Amino acid sequence: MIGRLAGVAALLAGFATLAVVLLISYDVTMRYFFDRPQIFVDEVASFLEVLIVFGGAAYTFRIGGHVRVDLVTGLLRPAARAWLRVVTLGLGVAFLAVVIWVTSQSALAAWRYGRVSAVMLYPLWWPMLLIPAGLALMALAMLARLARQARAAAGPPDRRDEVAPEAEG
Amino acid sequence: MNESLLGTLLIALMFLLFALGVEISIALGIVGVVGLLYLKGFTVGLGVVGSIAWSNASSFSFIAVPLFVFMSGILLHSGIGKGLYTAVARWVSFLPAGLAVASIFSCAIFAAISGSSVATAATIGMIAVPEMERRGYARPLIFGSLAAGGTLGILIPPSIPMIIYGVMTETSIGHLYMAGMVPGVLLAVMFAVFVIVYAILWPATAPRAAEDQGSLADKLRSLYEVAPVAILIVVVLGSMYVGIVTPTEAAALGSFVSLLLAAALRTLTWRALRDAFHATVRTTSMVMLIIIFASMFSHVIALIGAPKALFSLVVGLGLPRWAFFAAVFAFLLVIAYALEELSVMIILLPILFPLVTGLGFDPVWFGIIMVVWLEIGLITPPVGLNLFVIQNMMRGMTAADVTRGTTPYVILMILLVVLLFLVPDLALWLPRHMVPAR
Repeated sequence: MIGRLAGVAALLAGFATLAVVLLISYDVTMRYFFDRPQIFVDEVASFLEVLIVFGGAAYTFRIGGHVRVDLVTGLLRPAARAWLRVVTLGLGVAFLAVVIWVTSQSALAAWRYGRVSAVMLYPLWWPMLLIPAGLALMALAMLARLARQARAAAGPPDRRDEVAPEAEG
Repeated sequence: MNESLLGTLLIALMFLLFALGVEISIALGIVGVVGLLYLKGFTVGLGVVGSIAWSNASSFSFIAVPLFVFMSGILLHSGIGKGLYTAVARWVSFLPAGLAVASIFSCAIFAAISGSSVATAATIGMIAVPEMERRGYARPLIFGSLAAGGTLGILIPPSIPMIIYGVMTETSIGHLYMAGMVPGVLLAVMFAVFVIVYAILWPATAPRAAEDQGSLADKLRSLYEVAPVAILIVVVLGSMYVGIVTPTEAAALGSFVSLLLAAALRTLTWRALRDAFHATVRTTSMVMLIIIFASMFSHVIALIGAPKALFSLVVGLGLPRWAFFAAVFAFLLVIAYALEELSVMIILLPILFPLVTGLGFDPVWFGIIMVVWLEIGLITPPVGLNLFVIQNMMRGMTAADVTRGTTPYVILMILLVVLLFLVPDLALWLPRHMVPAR
């Protein structure tokens, strides 16, 4: 379920990239050949960038794309590594919870005070809301991994190790 | 608590979290948030966290990052790499180790449309590995020429690390691009000379055959096959240097034309598009989360005054220029064994950049040094990304093969750094004389 949501969000982020490609190409064409710059493009593209970064966060976590250092943990016994990962995942979820709370407060404030973008006066609350939304999905994916990791750590001794990330695709 | 103690504690916490295996982005974020809460209190501290997240994520300059990854994804299976490699091989296969020379030069040319080393190694490697294996080239020769040749992807413009460096340090991306050109070509020539000499000394490692020499007509016809690459170079670099577009816009145009070319070559499938989406998303999300959370960390470091303190400390040492630079570079080489280099660059730049430029080194020049260092990291174990890319294409590579294959190129890259130190104009002459619009 979370996997599917993360996949959908990643796909949305992918289409956002395509949209940025088309929008900016359109802007450049209009500006260069017709002398009609499309000033809305810069801001919309920036909003889509937020979608690309945070829409992809959960998917990237699931496939193990967020870089970690395994030089030290690689030296531990598998069972110790399994429990340590439970701790670090817990730490990650707790940290994300703080950032989600903060960024949703920012988005809420932007909505309440009617903050708008500098040029086109677009309301800023909805692109700002993409940050906590994407991070919440990532936190859920981390929680799901945490559950699996805890089961592995408490499970049969031969399977006590860090659980592998999901396959890409 | 005094400031240097706080700084030391925070940096110790950062390394502890890295060592425990916390995601690098999250570790940086934890340290940043802890520091901000301590220094600024609850309300202001958290407010800073929110605004840093938003301002970095919505920065227009950073959009070039996903765009170049997307473009590489489209080009990977488009067949454009195949045409390029075959054409270059026709022209250089009379040389000893001709196919390896072709790998290096194809990578160098592809680098002019690719902002990523991994994408360059993957695109050219996909074609070149089977060709060289079929001919019976020695494995370290195949491996080294592609893993190292691929790294040219970030030195020859466009370049994703240069975009990140440029935005983070407010250095002109156009100047950085220009500055990478001469060192990039020079490094490609150094690589090529190395494989030629190697094959002359050990001819058995690169068996020769007459088959791919071809006639002059063949050679001329092969130029037609590189037309798509030539078009893309004009779109991505040409448009920037005649001043029509910004680096971000050049990336978007390049992606758009890549889509058109892939459609024309009938390789634009849903599968290719989806793979490109996934590659874009994972690289962008990984890199941008590190950038966002690292800037919380560096905000704290700046509040403490660490860059200034470090600067007066280093000035107090009274080291000669070369010794200072050698010490910095040696430190970078060592730390790169523990951490992935791009992350290290993002973490260290806020401290390192004021220090280095404060001592009179040119910001553009230092950007090129950082990129060459990133290239070294891409082909040194344990976390060299290009090693993984080529290893996936060649069955049964041993660790010894890998080391033997890439070590000579690492030495050549370090030689390039020394040359750049002695003759900074290798990088700086071109940007001084050819200034892009923005």
